[in-house]
Amino acid sequence: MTWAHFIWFAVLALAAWSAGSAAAFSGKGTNRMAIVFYVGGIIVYGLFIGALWISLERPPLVTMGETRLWYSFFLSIAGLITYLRWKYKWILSSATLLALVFTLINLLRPEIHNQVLMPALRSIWFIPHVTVYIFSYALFASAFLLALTGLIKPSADVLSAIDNLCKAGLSFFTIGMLLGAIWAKQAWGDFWSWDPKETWAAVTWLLYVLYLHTRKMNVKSKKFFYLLIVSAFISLQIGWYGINYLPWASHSIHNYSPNSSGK
Amino acid sequence: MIINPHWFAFPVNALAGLVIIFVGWRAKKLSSITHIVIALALVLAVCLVQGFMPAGYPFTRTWPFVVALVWLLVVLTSALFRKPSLTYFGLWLALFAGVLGAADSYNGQLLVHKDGFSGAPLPFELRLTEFTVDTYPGGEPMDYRAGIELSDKNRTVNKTLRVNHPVSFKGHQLYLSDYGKDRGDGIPYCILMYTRQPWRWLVLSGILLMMAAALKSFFK
Repeated sequence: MTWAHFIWFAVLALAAWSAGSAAAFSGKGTNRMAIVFYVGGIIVYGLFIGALWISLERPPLVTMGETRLWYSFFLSIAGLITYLRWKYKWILSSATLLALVFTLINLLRPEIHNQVLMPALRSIWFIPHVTVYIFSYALFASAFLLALTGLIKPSADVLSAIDNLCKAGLSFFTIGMLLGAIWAKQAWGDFWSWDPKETWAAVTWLLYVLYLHTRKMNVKSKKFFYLLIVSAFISLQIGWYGINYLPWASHSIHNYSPNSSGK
Repeated sequence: MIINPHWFAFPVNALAGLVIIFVGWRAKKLSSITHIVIALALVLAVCLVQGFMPAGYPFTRTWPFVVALVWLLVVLTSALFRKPSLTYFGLWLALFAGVLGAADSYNGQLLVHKDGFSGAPLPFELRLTEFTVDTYPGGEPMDYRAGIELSDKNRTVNKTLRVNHPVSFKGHQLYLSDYGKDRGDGIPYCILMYTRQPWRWLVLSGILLMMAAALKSFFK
């Protein structure tokens, strides 16, 4: 199984997700067909990741293309959980749309070198650090979509759902970040060194922590909270891949591209 | 404007820690959510500045940065005295030991040769005995191993250093960070990073408590 087969899995999974998204709009409450289609799409996507893992003989978590794969996968899971828990009809279509964007990037711009795992990444902390992080990204993406909805349609009542997504997302984000800190001590000698990626992780973490704290205060403006969620999500994107394009941050020790030392 | 951490070496940092705890204990008002939000926003502001800093400028060792972190510590201390919380305590402990412990920590890099011992500024001597590179079938490096002989007045030990597998000796941790080019007769030297962080167990405890709190809040 290689990236050449990806298009078939991607088309099948996205077709299933689209069918599920459409089914979600019919009837009241949660729709059974929507769930069946959605789970089917998740299984198809998961099968490709599993097969790729086996054929690469290393976890597919190294290149940007590979992390986008996990992102689409976890995004659909987070979307389904949100749908089951809060019954928003449109959340499945939004999650599908985001998954489609990330899948299309993988199909059109594959930075998919079949890199082998370099010594710096051979560590037991590697898989938990990255997967826990990406799962939190997916939860935060759902919160971001809800915040956009709130900004566009001020009558929508989405704040309590955002609260729950942020709490779950922040739990995972915190664990991902701290697993990284323990790994950093083992690999680089210090828990935290204010490397660009670490700094932007701290900014993101603080913004979500501030959201959950200010929610307990008597702030009347809903727009304030939506904008906080939007800026936290932007900061997340900077830390995830944006720093690769910031000229002053390209020296990051988190840079594992083949041309950098990765140390 | 840049702070030399060693001005605050023990016992100055311990005294500063006591002052932080004392102020937090006395200043009841600082435990309010408004003060927590202000303190978090201050740290956010300095982190944002750091996020746009050019490489090499040690903004994290300037007064604004350190004061923002210390202020958050004071506010967290005050909140913890009024209302204990696992999340706050974990964050407090990791920050407290991280900020104050930095004054007693040091690190540096060291070239370790095959011939002859080199040790300074460490209180022991090192020598590279052998360096091997394991490769994947395609020839890409899979793992680096450096055999190191460590010796002080009383004893000599042999250890193997690998990336992600540091070695401890006499209160120091040694990390493999680079190696010299093979010019036909084997790899002549390797570069080690050494650190000494006497407060690291406190930082680690804080990190583990925070992770426990995050798990707890997810399953609640």
